[in-house]
Amino acid sequence: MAVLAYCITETQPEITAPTTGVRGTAIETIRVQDLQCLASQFDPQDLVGKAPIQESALDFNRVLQGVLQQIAIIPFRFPTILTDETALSQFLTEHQAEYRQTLHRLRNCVQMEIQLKQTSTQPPATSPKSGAEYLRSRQVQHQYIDSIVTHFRESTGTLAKEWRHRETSTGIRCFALVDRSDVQAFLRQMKSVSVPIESEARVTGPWPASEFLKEQ
Amino acid sequence: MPQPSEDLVIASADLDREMTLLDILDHVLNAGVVIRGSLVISLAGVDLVFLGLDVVLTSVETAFRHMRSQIPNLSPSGPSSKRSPE
Repeated sequence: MAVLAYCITETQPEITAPTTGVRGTAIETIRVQDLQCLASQFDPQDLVGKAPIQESALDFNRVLQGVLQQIAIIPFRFPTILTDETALSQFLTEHQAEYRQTLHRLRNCVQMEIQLKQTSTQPPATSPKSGAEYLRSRQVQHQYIDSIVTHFRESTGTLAKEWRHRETSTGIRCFALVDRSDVQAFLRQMKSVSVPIESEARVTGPWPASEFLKEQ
Repeated sequence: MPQPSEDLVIASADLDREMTLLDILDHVLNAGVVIRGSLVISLAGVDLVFLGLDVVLTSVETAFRHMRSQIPNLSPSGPSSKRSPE
């Protein structure tokens, strides 16, 4: 039967995995040496329709968060479905060296996220009349974004071990890799950050360190 | 202690302020390991279902057939599909 993959963890320290996963399916553990993958038997037809997908995504997140509270994880994107346990085991075997190294690097770390969104109601500036004008406007925009990102990054002090950001259609998303013992301190620190004028900031986490799976 | 800005929202289980459905969906649908060759199937502009092509769970046609039978107003050509970004 098909299996739904949740996440990869190290086998040590031992964790208490959630017993049920998406749509009440039993969580199983597939081990490859010192790594393990949490999965459950799954019928993909259960995902058809908006409501089942939402409910299943919440179930999926519950499993990830339940494990993340105990140990670093490499999450799979939802829904990652494989033909059977053998396929999942083969996948893990093929990538074990990479995942072992990643989990070692991210051990004890979680990801905190800051979403920055501009709330300005001003009409957009007129379109650039030349290529040079366009490049200048882009440069100004990048400088503005860099200044905001720097402001938030500096506000976290030394709590962020690594930091990444990217622009999105709605604003900027910043990701901080934080030691799990520093999460409360990070959140307290964020409470005191001043948000730029005509902007909103939303801080969420802790999340699995998905943005830091690859080293920069 | 400084007061939080009204323009700053902190949503964290650690502060007993729950994250929204959107926060959660955004992370589980858009973050994490993607198996090479995965396909994203979109409905109404929202990426919904990933199918691991490498491991051949089900053909895209089968997936579309299931979706057509469940979603009456789905276009006859099926949902748009695109390669998942790595």
